[in-house]
Amino acid sequence: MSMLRRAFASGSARYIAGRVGQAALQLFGVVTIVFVVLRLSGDPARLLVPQQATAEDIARIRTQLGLDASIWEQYLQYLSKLPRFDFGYSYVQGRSAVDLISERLPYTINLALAALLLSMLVGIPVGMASAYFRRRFLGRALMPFVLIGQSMPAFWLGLLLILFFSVRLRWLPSTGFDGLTSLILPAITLASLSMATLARITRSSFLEQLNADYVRTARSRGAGTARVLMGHVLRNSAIPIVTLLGLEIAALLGGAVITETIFAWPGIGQLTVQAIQARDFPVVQAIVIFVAIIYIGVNLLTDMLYAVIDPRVRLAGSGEQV
Amino acid sequence: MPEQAEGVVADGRSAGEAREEVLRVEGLSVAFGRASERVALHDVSLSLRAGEVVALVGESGCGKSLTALSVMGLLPPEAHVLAGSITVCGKEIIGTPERLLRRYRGSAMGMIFQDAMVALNPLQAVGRQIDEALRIHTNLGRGQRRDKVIALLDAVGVPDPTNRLRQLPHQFSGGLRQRIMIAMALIGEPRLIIADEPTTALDVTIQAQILEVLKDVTQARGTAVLFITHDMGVVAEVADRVVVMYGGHVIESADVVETFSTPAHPYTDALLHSVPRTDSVRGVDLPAIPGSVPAPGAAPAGCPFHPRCSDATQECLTMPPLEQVLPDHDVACWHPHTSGRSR
Repeated sequence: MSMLRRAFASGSARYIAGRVGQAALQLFGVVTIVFVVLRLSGDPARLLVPQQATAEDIARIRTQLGLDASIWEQYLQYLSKLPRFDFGYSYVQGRSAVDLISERLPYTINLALAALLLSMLVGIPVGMASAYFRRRFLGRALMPFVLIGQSMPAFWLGLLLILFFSVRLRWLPSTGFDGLTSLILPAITLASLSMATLARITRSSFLEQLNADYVRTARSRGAGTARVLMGHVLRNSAIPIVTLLGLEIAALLGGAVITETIFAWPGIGQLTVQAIQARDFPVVQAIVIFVAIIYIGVNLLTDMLYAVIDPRVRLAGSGEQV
Repeated sequence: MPEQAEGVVADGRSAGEAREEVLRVEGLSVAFGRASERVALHDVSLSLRAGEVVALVGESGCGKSLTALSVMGLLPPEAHVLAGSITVCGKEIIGTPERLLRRYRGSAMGMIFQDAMVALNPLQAVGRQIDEALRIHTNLGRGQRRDKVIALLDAVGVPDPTNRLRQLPHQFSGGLRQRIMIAMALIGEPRLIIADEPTTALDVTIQAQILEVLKDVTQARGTAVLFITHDMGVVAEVADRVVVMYGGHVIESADVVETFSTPAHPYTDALLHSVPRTDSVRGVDLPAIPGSVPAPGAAPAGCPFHPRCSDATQECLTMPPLEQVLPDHDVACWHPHTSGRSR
């Protein structure tokens, strides 16, 4: 914790203020692009009415939804409501987009955390081991599994898992959310890719550091394998790992579209698919903005973590040589 | 500090010749490659007694560092020991499992590496890196270890050690970093220190200070130092004895005074002639040794120096044994300069 405090103390207030301003700008860009692109995708009113509806019916619904105004008016009105966290109401369900997201969010967070934990607990040690034992059987034997994990598409892996564990063995539920057991298969499906990517980046980062001179110095003091790896190499190879972890966290929290669809998981990913199919503009917009905020936040956090991991990141240029 | 150090030095010297042998390398041969096809060390033998500083001298690639790493049991994975024995404080190193070697490293023997900038972990406070040997090898409490680290940092000339032990390596100057390296190697009070070109990366004034510090702290403790260098000036400064290596062979071993006054091997002689001296004539090029050191495995038959040697004859196509030419002066040459050439 003291390191965090130190990182913040050394003139980073201005840095953070700058980053927050940058984030606001990015967010504004995202809002605008999503707003415009969605309106190019077609008329949501046509999807809301039955096949035999008349042109008047459609026009009435357009007026109701406020879609008859010019795109500029719509856009300014949308922007004016954003500061109050009013993202509009779902065309389909008539409920506020924020409500819909917050209802789905706990499921997505559960799944994301489970997948993240799994990929960290497996991916990082596997990467470390395959780097350290690169000359031995273990190091060589691990990499094919990593490659399989990385190349296996989620929809295929998910179906195989359902077929085996739900249909054949009847050990685990195949769909929906019903307690912790139903978390297992979706979590494995979702984690397989990040697990493999994490293992690979850990391996390459460790390989680079294992040949570093300070490793030999540590060994010359009598340090053993565990001490060398955990005490010296881990922190030195942490920056690429943390970078990837940040991206993975953001991706997982943004909703796993494919995995949630396969397992009928009631999370953000499923909501996204439903909203896009129904041209439910307010919901899609709200989801995209939500995901963008997560990405921007996680990136900011990752950048600040760099300075905690490697104080030279911040001290560089401030002339602290003695 | 200096007064105290000198007192102990005098004490250590009085023990004289009977001092305990700390390191013995005997018939060490090391090779690289899958089929051990590139032999890099041939039948290397040397020994060190407590309190003695032996300089291991030679050009880059002659096997100095490889010898050092063999002693530490830290040979790179692609190198193998073909034959020989290394004992540190009476304990065999060759063939000893890693688990046991770890116990000797940092406690019986320590190593000072060449470039402290890369040899130190850039992301760990220097105090913690120095302390590591104590954490591994002793049961001392936190406070006791801290006191030891501070005392040693002070002894090697790091100012304000209490505050600076929390800093990272990049916050120190090159000279201070090397002092930290020395403290790190010495903290476990090893009987043997291997210093692998500890001053090569430093500028000349700092170099002199570091040598001074190294001499002070090792003499005070009676530590044996195997000092690896290619700098004859440094040798004259620090060494009691000199072991000259060429192409993976020990070719000469003698007292430091004798090495400089009567170098017996043509290579040693040539090496000494290529050192600039205050009486060198301006404008005249320093004598250089023609050619370069043979790569491991590509060494010529016989004496590895014969292609570059002005005294070479047909005989030199077989490797001469290391033999005593004068009391305590061994040389491996068919045509040694026993009379001491004029310089």
